[in-house]
Amino acid sequence: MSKRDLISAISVIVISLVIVLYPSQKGPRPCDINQKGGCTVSGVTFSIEPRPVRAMRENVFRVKLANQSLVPENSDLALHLTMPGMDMGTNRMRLKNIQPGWYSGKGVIPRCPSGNKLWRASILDISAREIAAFHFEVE
Amino acid sequence: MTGLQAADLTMALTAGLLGGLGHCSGMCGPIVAAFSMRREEDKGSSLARAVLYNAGRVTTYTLLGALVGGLGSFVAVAAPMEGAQYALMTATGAIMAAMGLSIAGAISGATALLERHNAAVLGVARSLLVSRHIIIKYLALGLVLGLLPCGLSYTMLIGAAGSGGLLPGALRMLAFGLGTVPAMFLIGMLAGGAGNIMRGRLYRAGGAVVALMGLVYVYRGLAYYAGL
Repeated sequence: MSKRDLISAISVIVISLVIVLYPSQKGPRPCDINQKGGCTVSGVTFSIEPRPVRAMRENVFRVKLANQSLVPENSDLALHLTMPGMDMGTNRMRLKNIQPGWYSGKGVIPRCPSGNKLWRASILDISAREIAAFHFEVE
Repeated sequence: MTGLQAADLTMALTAGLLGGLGHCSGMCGPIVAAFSMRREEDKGSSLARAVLYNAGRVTTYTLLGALVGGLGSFVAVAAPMEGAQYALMTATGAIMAAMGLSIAGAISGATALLERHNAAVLGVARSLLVSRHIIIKYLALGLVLGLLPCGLSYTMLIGAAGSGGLLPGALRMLAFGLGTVPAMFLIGMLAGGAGNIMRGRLYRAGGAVVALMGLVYVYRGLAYYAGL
């Protein structure tokens, strides 16, 4: 095998490994989104219903703020779902302010054929400032 | 068209462009590469094949966008279809593996293998693979493979379902599909070119990689049914 063939063969193998390993990149340790009460970070509680949470069906996303001064009064929030290590596009939904400190909205979590189940939910205020982020896994 | 609709379409196009280079090249690139690498006996340039394949794929995206937009629901369309999509993924992986083994010289030919297994899915695949009519073959291939399960497409379809109607849904997915074309086009052209240039052991090594990727697709397809 010539030097050129060897370099080409190595390139093919490296590209193949990148393709195979690309979807398996993992993010930080997730919280259990199926636990009662959801997940809480710095006074922000995030939950999804119905439980157990499943991909490819309509879910209700809820956020509860312990400290209501985090966001302007009566303003809504936004939820941005991303998958660490995988470009899954922009999946953003509005969380309406249903009562002081409580927010709710409907949306769908898509399934990734790579087998990745880890998601990152970013809770944003009206100025698109992230007030909390949660990592969780969905079947 | 309102400013908001124009912004939606621009975002969909951008998502396709960026996703095409990142997401699609990793997830669907191997399929495009597999079908492009084969040394073709049929008439038609690799450019024509790439155009027809992508036209089919974008058409499927557009039709799905119209469907979810018209119904106003992603779940109503995608949830019942998902099982069939993973079956398609498994079958595609099996075909890729057979083609890869054929390229690698491990079997006498993928079509010979398909002849021996006359199951319905492989029968359709065979008609796609060995058809002498290049337009039907690659357009049909794009139309069918546009149905493969894809997380990025799902997200775009979720957006299309909320776009407010059949036409906005179709347009949004058309914009997204067009956005993915440059990356898929590039992969197809490069793989097709490589297939023609590469000779001997290196060509066979490429076939082995295609077979390996096919097995990855089979695994992913079966993992869905196994609940993994």
